Amino acid sequence: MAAALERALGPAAAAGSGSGAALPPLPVLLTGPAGSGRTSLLLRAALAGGADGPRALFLAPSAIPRLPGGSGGTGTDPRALQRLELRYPRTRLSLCRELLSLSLSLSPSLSPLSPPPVVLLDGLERYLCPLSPGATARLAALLLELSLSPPVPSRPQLVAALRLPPPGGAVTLGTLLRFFPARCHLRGDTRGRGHVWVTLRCPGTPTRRWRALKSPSNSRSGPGTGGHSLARRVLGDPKIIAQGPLTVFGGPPGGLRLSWKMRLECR
Amino acid sequence: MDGSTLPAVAEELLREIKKAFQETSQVPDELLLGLKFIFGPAAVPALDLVDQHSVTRLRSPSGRILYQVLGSSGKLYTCYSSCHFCTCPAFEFSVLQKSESLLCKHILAVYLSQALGACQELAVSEEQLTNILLAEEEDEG
Repeated sequence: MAAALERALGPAAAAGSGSGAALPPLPVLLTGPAGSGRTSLLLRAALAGGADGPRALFLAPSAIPRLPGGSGGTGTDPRALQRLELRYPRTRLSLCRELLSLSLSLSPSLSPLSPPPVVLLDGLERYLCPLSPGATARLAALLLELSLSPPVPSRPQLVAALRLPPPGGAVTLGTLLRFFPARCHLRGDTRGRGHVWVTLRCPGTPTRRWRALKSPSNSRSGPGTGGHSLARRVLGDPKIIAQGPLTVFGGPPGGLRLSWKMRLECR
Repeated sequence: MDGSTLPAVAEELLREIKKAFQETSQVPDELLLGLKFIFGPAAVPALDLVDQHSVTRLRSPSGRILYQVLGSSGKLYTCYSSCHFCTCPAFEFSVLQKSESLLCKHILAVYLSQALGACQELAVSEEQLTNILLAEEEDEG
């Protein structure tokens, strides 16, 4: 849901981006090319709010390499991790069953003061291939059905991430956009190395934009090797400080690599 | 349907049809013409479906709603309540692929049945409703 993304990203940075208006409770389609940071943004959204945030269910067709910020980094509250559930349905049918199971497990008597759960679906493109527009529409419609119905406060908030271009190209994207009224797009900033622009469009509210910095990453070969482990030994665990409106997240897919120069400060 | 994205003129027309029917138990000719103008070839078949009481609203204990429409071919199609989706082939072809129509006749029949109070009501269990939602996915295997 759009509010979950805004919690992760903070106040919109761009002037005139209209960050004051409340975001409608609509499911969001998060799009971006490979390496734009979709998975990390989803995880940030899941953990935003710390220990008091909503229950979060992260779904993906395969296991994620690591949580954002690595172990103990970027201020991830361990209590926030306790409300995060990771599941990896491999097929479209198992994904649908997971979502319906979640929907059925929600109690209508849940306190209206409790935040509704957040469902973050990564790798949507892998559930679409190879499908007809009708099957794509059916999956998208089912996602919407589960996030918009029944009209109870406890219905889950949904953010689904789609790598561009999707299988089936413009036809698939057009079909999905019919069903997702709200869209968040990630795009590399050509002016600043390592930055991405995040644009969130929700019906009825002004467009919101953030300029975010991709985080440095740990070598896939793990601790004890490479420059990163040296940095850790010299500087301690890196703590990335957000500067002004910048929010740090992201990393290339398939594993994180130390490839960005960042200002690191350690306690 | 909640969360629908009909053009404003279409929504206004459906509101007027509902109001006229509530007041006079009839739908004036000019509104029927408006229906045909906006929704094209789907309008008359949709009205036929309404006349035949082909639309059933399924409601589960949690409040989730689905619509099932008995098509002219005798096949049962499912329409979702939160968005425009129908399991019929015409929805995929005419609406999604060709963008020739706003809606298929089944979805339009649901709207009209709501406006005219012509939906049949059926209470189902959560499991039954879930099975209906998953039916097409399981067929694809």
